[in-house]
Parts: sequence; C-alpha cells; structure tokens
Amino acid sequence: MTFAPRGLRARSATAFALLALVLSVSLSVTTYQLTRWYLLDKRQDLAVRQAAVNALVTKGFVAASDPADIDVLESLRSVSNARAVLRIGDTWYASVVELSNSTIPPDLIRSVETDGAARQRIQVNGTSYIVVGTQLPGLDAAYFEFVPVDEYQRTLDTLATVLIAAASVTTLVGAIAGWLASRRLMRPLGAVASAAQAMSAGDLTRRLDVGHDPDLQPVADSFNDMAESLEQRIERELRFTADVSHELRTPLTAMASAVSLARRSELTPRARFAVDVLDEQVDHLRRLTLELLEISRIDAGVSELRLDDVDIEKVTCQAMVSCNVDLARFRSLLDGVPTFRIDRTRYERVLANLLENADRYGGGATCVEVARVDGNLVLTVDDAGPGVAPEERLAIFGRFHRGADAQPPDRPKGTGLGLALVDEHARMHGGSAWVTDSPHGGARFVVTFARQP
Amino acid sequence: MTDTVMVVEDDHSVRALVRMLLEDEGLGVVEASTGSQAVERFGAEPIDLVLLDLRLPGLSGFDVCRQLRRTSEVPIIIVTAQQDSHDVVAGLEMGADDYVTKPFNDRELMARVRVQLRRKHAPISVGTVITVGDVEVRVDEGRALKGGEPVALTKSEFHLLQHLAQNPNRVWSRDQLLEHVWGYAYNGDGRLVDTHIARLRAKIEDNPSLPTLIHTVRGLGYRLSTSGT
Repeated sequence: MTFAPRGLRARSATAFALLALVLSVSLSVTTYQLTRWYLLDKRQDLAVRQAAVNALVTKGFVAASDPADIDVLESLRSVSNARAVLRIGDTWYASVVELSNSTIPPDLIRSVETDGAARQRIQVNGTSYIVVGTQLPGLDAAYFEFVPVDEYQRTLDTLATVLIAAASVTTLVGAIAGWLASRRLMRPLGAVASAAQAMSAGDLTRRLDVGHDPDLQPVADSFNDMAESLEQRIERELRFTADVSHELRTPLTAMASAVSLARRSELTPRARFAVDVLDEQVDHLRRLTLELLEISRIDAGVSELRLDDVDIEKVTCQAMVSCNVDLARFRSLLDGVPTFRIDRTRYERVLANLLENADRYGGGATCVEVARVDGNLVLTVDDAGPGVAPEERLAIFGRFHRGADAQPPDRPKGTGLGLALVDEHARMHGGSAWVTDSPHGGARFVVTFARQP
Repeated sequence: MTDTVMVVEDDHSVRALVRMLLEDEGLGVVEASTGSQAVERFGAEPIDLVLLDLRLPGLSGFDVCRQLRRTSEVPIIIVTAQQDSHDVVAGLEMGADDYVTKPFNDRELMARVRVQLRRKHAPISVGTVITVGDVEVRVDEGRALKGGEPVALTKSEFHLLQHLAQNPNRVWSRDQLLEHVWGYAYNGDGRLVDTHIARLRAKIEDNPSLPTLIHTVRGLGYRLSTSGT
C-alpha cells in the first residue's frame, strides 16, 4: 500500500491524532476493565454471602420437611426469590424452568462435592450468571444459586459508550492541536522561505533572524552561513569581473589611442589597410568586452534599473540619427505624451542594437515605431531583409548565436550578444522581445517595456 | 598661454599615447604614474586640468581626488573602467567634474577635455552679480558667497549654479543641464547632474535635505527658486 506524499502539517496532525487515540483508548480500556473487575468482584462477594445465607435457610427447610417435590420447590422460591437449583440425593430441583442440573457445569458440581463450596461465571441463554454452589452440611444435598450480573453489564455498556465518545473527542482535539502546533512550528519555515526568495531575487544581504530560540538557532545559523558564503562568492566573482574589465580596458584604450595616432600620420596603402584592420578588431574587442560585462552584471543580479521620465520620441530620433537612419522612417503612436518611465541607457542600447542588427542582416531599418499599449511601451523595428526563419526565431536571442547563412561576408562580425542583451534589458523592465514577419516583407523585431510604478 | 593637463595613469603606454593626443591639440602634459606622485607634482607645477584614473596602485584615484579638492578647484575628469559601476558616482561625489569610460577614443576624450578647459577662458560678463536668498553669485569673479562668506565651488559646480541663477524659477531637465553645463549634445549621464546638485546643495543650502534654493521637480528636473520657498 502506498500513500501520496503528505505535507508536514498533515503528518504532524495525524501523528498528534494517533497519539491522542492510543492514549485515550488505552486509558479507556484500563478504566473499563478496572471498573468491570471491581463491580463484578463486589457482586460476586455479595452473591456468595447471599447464597450462603440462602443455603442455610434452604437446609433448614430440607431438614425439617419431607422431601416432597412441591415443598422443596416452594421453599426454594420463598427463601431466595432467586434462581436456584437444589440437589437432594440424586434428585435435582430448579426454582425456574430454564434452569436444571444440566445448566451447571459438571466441574463446578465436582468442585462443590470435593471442596464444599465453589463458584463460576457462566452464560445461560445469553445471560451472564455467577453460579455459587455449596454443600448443605450434614445432608447429601447441594445448593446452587444463579446470580445474574446483567444489570452491571448495562452500567458497563453505558461506561463503554461514554469512554468511546471521550476517546473520539480526545483524538479530534489531538488532531486539531497537532495542526495548530505545526502551524506555529511552520512559521519559522515561512521566514526561511521568504529570506531564500529575497536572496534569489538578488537581495544577497538578507539574513534570518529567529530571535533567541535555541531550537531554531542552528537552522538560522546554517542558513545565514550559506547566505554569507554565497554573498562572498558573488562578490568575489563581481570583483573578478571588475578586475578583468579593468585589465582588458587599459590595453584596449592603449590600442584605440595608438590607432587614432597612427591615422594622423601619412600611411602607405599597405599600412593603411593594416591600421583599418586593427581599428575594426579593436572596436570589435571593445564592444565584446562591454557587452560581456553588461551581460555578466545582469546575470549576477547586480545590474540596477535607473528609472527616469524619458522623452521617448527625442531619444529614439537621436539614436536613429547616430545610426544614420532616415528620420522619415520614424513613427510615434504616443499620442502627444512622449515621456515614459524607463532606464534611458538600457532603452538606448536596445534601440542601437536593433538598428545595428537591421543594418547588418536586414538591409537597414525601414520603419521604427514607438507605441503605448495598455500603458506599456512597445518598440517595433522593421527591416527589408530576408526575415528570420520560424525555427530560428527563438534561437537568435541566445548568446553567441549566429544564423547559418546570416553572416554577411564583407562586414565585420557582430558580437553575437546584441539580441541577447536586447532580451535581457526588456526583461529587466518586465517586458519581452521577439521577432516576427513584417507585413512589408523582412523581419519585425518587437520589444516591450512594462509601465513602471 | 598653453593649458597644462596632468595625466594620472599607471599604464605607461596609455600615458604616452594620451600625452601624444593632448600634445597634438596643443596642450602641455605632466605625467604621473602613481597617486602620491600626482599629489606631489600637482603642488609643484601649475595644472589646469587633471585626467585621473581611479584604479591606481597605492594611493587610489579617489584618495587623490579628495586630497586635491582640499586645496584646489581644478577641473578633474575621472577615468573609469565601468560606466555602470558605483565608481562613477563615488568619484563624482568626491568632487570630480566629469568622467570618461575606458576604452575611450580620442574624440570622446578631447571633447571632455575641451569643455572643462573652455570654462577657464569663458568671456567675463563684467559686474554681473546675482543674489538668491543669502547667496551671491559673482559671475565676473567666478565665485559665490553665502552670507558674505566665500563658498569653495569647483568650476562645474559654479557653472551649474550660474546657469540656474541666470535663469531663475525655470525648470531645467537633466538633458538641458548636461548640454549647457557639460556640453553633452546627447547621451550624457544624468548622474553628473544629480551628484553636482547634491554637492551644490551641501555648500549653499542651510539644510541640504530640505532645500529652499534648488528644488527638484519630480519627473522634470531642477529649478532655482528666488522666492526662497
């Protein structure tokens, strides 16, 4: 038999209920048994004493009268008002019809004959009796009295009902107590969960505080140790990234400056070609370094949005001008409200990357459109290229992805990170980026930026 | 008269190349390869502009910036590895006037250098004194007084204050201030304006956290108020 995995709270409630059940049932059973034993014992003592008295009286009758059946029976009935069986010689007399010598267990009869007196509990027609048997001294006779104990059974039944009810209530209370106790116990777990959540959302300084609870302290300590080492590791990695960046930037600066200086001199065609190649490669390396750093900062979760109310129309036009895109291709559907709350630098990079992408692979941007949809900003850049095959549409936003035949042979390579960064910047704004077909042929890149509070 | 630029940079080839670029523009150059050397040479020679790399062995660029600011309002352009980093803000808070990001190209660098040097040769409008509250902006002397006492302002702080004071009660966006004060046609960094405003407030406001002169207009920019509210 298998169980579906249950929650900690359900298990705790079940455990509490089981414990309550076991305790209350064993207590009830003990109580019941003790009560029963006590009551029956008392009854038995009473029965024995009464039977002894009745035996004596019966003996008087038997000794005084002729052993005529009717008289003996009459006397039996009058003496005891009880259910009795009398043996005189080999003759048996019973005070009521349902009793006879055959209802008395034979070993009881033997015990009475040998020991003079004995008793035993028996069942007759579903009724419990204590049978007390005794020899009548000086006579060849024995007296057996049947004392019913069913009246006690009713008391015991009532007791049993009460005890079962009490056990059920206790079990239920146990389950509720378990549920409540586990809720209290789970509360620190909630704190752990929210701290872990805060950390995975980038707040590496978050720590657990459980007050002075000695039971929770070890958990909090190990959680905080983990957080500490995580924070240190990320800090180390960031410092490493910053150091690498500095180490790379200095030689890049030297190379860029050297190229600028070389261009100021008279150069032979061969030397000019060499300087051009250098220039191109230095520029490529510079952009690769910048974009790698940018993406690694986003990955590390230390990149922050710097929100401002930005004039989208103006910034978009500026970016288009600096990428040599005709401003006639700009369309604004912002309805006279050109400002939008956004990280300006990131918006500029997204736009520059898309324009450059269109220039590189799509024969240049044919239409740049900004619109407000449900309060969010939607930027659309169309190009006049061959478009993007459906199976490539997700992959081109991956890092260092290069389409099979997209690379123009006579142009410097792209960094392979441009669209990946577009996607990351959009995500940081709670938006997204995708590509589809432009209705005018070519590809259409769409980037959304969510409205910021 | 030739302006002299001090280039503080630990990499010798970058230093040599920047020297050549600056000399091509007709500027004099003093080199320093460490922070302490920079502080030493600054005291010994007349320097019109400091080009300061932040990451230096020993005395860091931040320390140099702080030390120079104790005695001088010389324009300081910091050179930083990462635009996105806190280095920029930290350097600006320590009194730098502008920054360039490595790797820079010659056009970017020269544009920044020229803006800072131009201030020195700005035409003087004789006798212009603007009074805002208890602050007196003496445009001709290039200095400001608060309650009659001179306030030590850097060139770009003074330029910003002058610009705001000459056009009082008008809201200026960050972009506009970047263009007028720092010469960024576009793509300037709004943090330049924000840190300079904070520095100005610390020097001329009675309570910089409750400014009565330079107000922030949320979503728009900054405004210098003459009414004192």
